[in-house]
Amino acid sequence: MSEAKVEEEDMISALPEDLLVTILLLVPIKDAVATMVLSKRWRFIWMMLPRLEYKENGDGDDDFDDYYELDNSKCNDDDDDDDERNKSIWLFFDKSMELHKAPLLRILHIKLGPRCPSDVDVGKWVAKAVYRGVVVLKIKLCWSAGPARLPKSLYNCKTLVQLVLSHKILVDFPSSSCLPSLIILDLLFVVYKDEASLVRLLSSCPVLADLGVKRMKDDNAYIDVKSFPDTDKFTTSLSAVSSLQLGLTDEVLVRCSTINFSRLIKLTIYPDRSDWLEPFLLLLENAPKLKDLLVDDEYVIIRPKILPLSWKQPSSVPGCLSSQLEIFEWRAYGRREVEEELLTYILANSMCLKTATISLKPTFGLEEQELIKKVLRASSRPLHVCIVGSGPAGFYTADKLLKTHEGARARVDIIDRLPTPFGLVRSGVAPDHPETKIAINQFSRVAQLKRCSFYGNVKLGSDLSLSELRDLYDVVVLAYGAESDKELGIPGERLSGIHSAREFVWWYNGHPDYSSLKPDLKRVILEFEDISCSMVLKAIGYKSVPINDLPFDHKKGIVPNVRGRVVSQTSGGIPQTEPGLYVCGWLKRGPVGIIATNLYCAEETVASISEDIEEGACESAKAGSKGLLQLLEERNVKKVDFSEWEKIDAKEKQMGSESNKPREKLVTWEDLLGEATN
Amino acid sequence: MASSSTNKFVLKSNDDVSFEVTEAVAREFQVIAHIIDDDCAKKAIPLSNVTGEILSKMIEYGKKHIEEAPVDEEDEEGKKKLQIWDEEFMKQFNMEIVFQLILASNYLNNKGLLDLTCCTVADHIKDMTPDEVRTLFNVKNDYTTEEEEEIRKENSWAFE
Repeated sequence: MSEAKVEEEDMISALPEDLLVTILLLVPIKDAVATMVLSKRWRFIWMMLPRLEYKENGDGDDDFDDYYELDNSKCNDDDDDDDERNKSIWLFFDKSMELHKAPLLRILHIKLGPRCPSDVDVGKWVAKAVYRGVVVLKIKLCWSAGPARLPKSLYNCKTLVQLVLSHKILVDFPSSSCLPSLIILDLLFVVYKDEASLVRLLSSCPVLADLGVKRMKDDNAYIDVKSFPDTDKFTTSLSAVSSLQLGLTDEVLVRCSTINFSRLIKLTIYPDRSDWLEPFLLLLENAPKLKDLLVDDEYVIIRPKILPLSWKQPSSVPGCLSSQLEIFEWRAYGRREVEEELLTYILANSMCLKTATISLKPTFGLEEQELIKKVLRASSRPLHVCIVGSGPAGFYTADKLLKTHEGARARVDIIDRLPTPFGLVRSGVAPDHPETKIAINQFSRVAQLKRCSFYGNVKLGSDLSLSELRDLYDVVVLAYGAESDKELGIPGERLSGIHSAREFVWWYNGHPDYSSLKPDLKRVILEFEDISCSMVLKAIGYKSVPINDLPFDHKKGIVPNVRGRVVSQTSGGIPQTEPGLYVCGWLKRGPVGIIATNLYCAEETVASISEDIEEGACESAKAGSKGLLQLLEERNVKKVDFSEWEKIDAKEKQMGSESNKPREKLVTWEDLLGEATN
Repeated sequence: MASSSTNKFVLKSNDDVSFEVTEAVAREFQVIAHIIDDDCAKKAIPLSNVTGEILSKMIEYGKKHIEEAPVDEEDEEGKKKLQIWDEEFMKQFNMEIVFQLILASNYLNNKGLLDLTCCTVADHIKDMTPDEVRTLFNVKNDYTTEEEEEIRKENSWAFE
């Protein structure tokens, strides 16, 4: 306000008292009190302030809210600086509280530092504030004296809504206490008289919604409650909490991981020195309604550089992640390998996540920050994978992929042109081979994972094109095997009545494409014999079928590839890998090998996928399942999902049991689709 | 009923200056919002405590805060932009106008403008000695020298 000029009139003093109070609320308390000498009009204005905030001289201006930080250095600092400015605020606080006369004192903040005399009585001013209907009370004592006891009236204050007690305060709850309006309570590095007093405190706050507890451990200056013996009561008090801040020492953490936080919506944790990851996950499992999670590493006191941290992926994803968590923040993320795993896990499994904020420890260089950002960007969204073909190659690929590091965020859709899964395990292996059953059980487990879906009756090439599929998914793995036959190249080979062994095998295994084959089994004879019969079978091998937009080696009957990466040729004839497109199984290596061969084959392809992702492939967001299902619906394609397959499966087993067989297959498209939608 | 962006009202200052404003802008001032809600706003709304000069500034403030209102709580950029505008807006006034704005925004009950104007005054009290404050605001010291000395002595804790 450079143009401010002295006006003749004393306009400020002419303002009504309430406006002067409003103005004085906006200046530091010391300046407000000093206005008493301006004129008689001003003598008592400051005494009407409904909010008083005191802090030690020399404390920063802007961090008035540092109640939440551990003040170790200051607490033990025997300051012998004689500088005037370094005198304690105590005298000022004491005198001004004495003179203050507003009928209501709504907000009182007081921070006393190490220079404060140790024989003073803070309690009497707390009692005055309680008497004046205090709503928000924050006290931080960092003096060298022992912990202060606060007046009993505080613990029966009817108006108090927020209470923050920090450092050298003795929490000593009388048994008769009751804080009927208290919603927010923070106990930060305070001293507890005994364990029971904390339990009493919590159970006497009927509307408490936000509890913050930070504790210190292994510090002789502080008594710490080592455990909560009255777990039941403590549990009851905490079960009702909807917002919680926890400083995690081992004891608190282990204890909390056994509590059912049935109403917890917002959780902040301050990982301390402990190996916190595992109990933290348990805690997540016990907080089914959690929507907002903050991991704050900013104020870690002393954490040994190499602290053993460990966690293992829980058998099922905590419910709050899959259905509730919307906001996730990790402050001062340290980027240790295990932490990165946990972070990736949380991001990958939080299906409702709207915002994720990760801030790094300031010690990271710019270059490193960029690198981490890239990793986080990639891991913060799902990796959409589509596997075409649900035979062994397809299922092994899905299984391996979901188990990799990158796979933690993968969503795998397996599509098949048949309504039934498992490919040749169902239709290509003689039904009397029992190992097929083992494979089927294994594949079924994969298909039932939340992050894996099966969509049968979806035909690549006619229902949707390969380029459409590649637009929808980050990774497309073709594993549809070999659905055609090698040709002998002899005249009449394609005449009706001449069939390949593949067709015959498919028929006797109930493949719906060959339900009408009906061979005369007495006359099945192999080639090169000129006999009269209605059917000739040739058994010289399977061959894969090419589809549009897909490079294909017609000679070998495979898709050209390098370790599963599809290789195409540019117009200039230079080989190049197709980004995001892979093959596995017979399509990759030709129709040889047994079921288990696919295991190694899938491992190789998945390793290639992982390498490509690590090198920054798959950066753009894809629609995945959602896009696929939308497309299928638009085109009126009736997909058969895994639960519908299970209906078919149940029907076949039931039909089988009627004729003493493991199953009686449904062999026509009509029957299969009919049963699926039944 | 017409929407608040098309519905117009006329605000009339105590020196007979009329301003046509949209309902949304009018509603920025709680007192006027009440008048509209009570359906007493048929014609011009007379504002007996506000001059045309002050009212025009208040309407400018109200309009800006309607047009540039941050999208939501998290629109930090929007908030910052508006804050910068507020600072520039206040720079054009001398203290006399600032006090008139305080009284008028208190009277018409616009909390944003009241806070902004009070802050401007508070900034001139902050970190100033009482003597400097007196000079800046032309506060008439009606203590005798002895009285003032007595108060300073009695409350020496407040002046260290």
